[in-house]
Amino acid sequence: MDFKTASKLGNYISKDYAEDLFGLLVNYQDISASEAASRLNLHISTAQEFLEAMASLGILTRKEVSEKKRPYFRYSLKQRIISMEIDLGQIAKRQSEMQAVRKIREKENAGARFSTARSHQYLSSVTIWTGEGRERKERKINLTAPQGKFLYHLPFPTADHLSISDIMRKAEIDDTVLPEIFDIVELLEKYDVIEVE
Amino acid sequence: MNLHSKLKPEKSLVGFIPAAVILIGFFMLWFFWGKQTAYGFMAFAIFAAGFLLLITYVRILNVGFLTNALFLLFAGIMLTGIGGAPFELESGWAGILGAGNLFFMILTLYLVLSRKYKWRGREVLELTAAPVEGTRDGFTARPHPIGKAEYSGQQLMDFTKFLRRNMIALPYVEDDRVFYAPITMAQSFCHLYGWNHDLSGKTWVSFDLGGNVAANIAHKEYLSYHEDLTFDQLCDSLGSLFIEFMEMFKKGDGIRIINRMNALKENPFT
Repeated sequence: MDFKTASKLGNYISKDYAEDLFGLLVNYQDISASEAASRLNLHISTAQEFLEAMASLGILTRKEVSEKKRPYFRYSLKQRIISMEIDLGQIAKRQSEMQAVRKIREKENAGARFSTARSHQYLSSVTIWTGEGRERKERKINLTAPQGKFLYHLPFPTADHLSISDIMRKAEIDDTVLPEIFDIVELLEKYDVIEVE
Repeated sequence: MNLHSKLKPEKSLVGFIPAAVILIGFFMLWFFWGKQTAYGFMAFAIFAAGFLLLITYVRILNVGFLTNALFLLFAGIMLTGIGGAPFELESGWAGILGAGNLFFMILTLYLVLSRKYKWRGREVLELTAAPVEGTRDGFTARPHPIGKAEYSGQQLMDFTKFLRRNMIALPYVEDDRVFYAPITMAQSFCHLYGWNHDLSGKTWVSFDLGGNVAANIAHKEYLSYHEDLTFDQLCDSLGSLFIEFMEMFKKGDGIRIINRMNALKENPFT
């Protein structure tokens, strides 16, 4: 299951009425949205939305019926067990050699404030300001130790660009933390603190 | 005066604030409570300043602090003997104190004018800027790792004592590294007597026990240059300057460091 599907399922399952609705579905052979809504004292659109969402996730089957009136759907449970399995590897930062050779440096007049750790051997946080005037907001990003060491060795705005892998080598950071380095580089690139050659 | 200086002239009057406060207090007390109270206050203030300098001498070990302290302590004792003050001095004692006071005043003045009793912050900044040609700005408020230098722990400690005694930089010694803050007379009050010893936002060079050297230049110091010097070159230069100082010191050429600074002919009162 991908993260978006899991997120949708989680959202509906967490509704107050979800257990009661599933209770009807597991006990009835099939049920329409109006029957379920009247049974649980819900608005018909609430029940309709829930049942449609479950059908779209493949948990229910729906069948169109018409009994001398306009057609409507009847829903029945397709499976009695709902399992949610998410492969977090799918959302891990894609590590590629292409990314590691990108040359970067701090952007001139980035307007970010770097705070050094007490030992002054690495950075502890980066503060960024976004927006203008009253909309101006401060965002402080606390750094992990490898991120702090990496940014400590980030070339200055007037220095030559260096590749991510070269900076990591200078900072004596292990390759295993590459994803968190990519993550902070990506974020600071988004906020115009880091520029890519 | 160095005609090719890259630094703006020093205009800070912070160094004169203590003397100004004592003088203002003296005249106010004279006006409201009379001569005796005013002289009593003056004597107390000068004694206090003398003791403070004596304590600073123990910390820095530059003889200028000692002669200045003795000059002030003699002056403080003499002030108590001025007519109307709480303690009247016999004329014999007054003569001895007067001669001592004059001796230490002349000695202190000599040490100041010969730049033996002078914080070298401006000289360090001037030497730092000398090899920097670019004017691309690029200031960023974070430390710059310079590279590696070779020294032993004992050499680092000896170098620290040398920089401190010659007032080239004020060292902040930590467990695994030493920070050297090049300061001016105006900044020395906050560094020596202030309670905030956080070096964030200040200019420093650090040497750790692993041989790693890093440098940081504060925005205030960066603005003290006439031009927006290329910042990474400036930080590199500051770190390299101290590495060079370390190399010269290891060879026993410490005097050459002093000579290079004296050659800049900076104002001895900065």
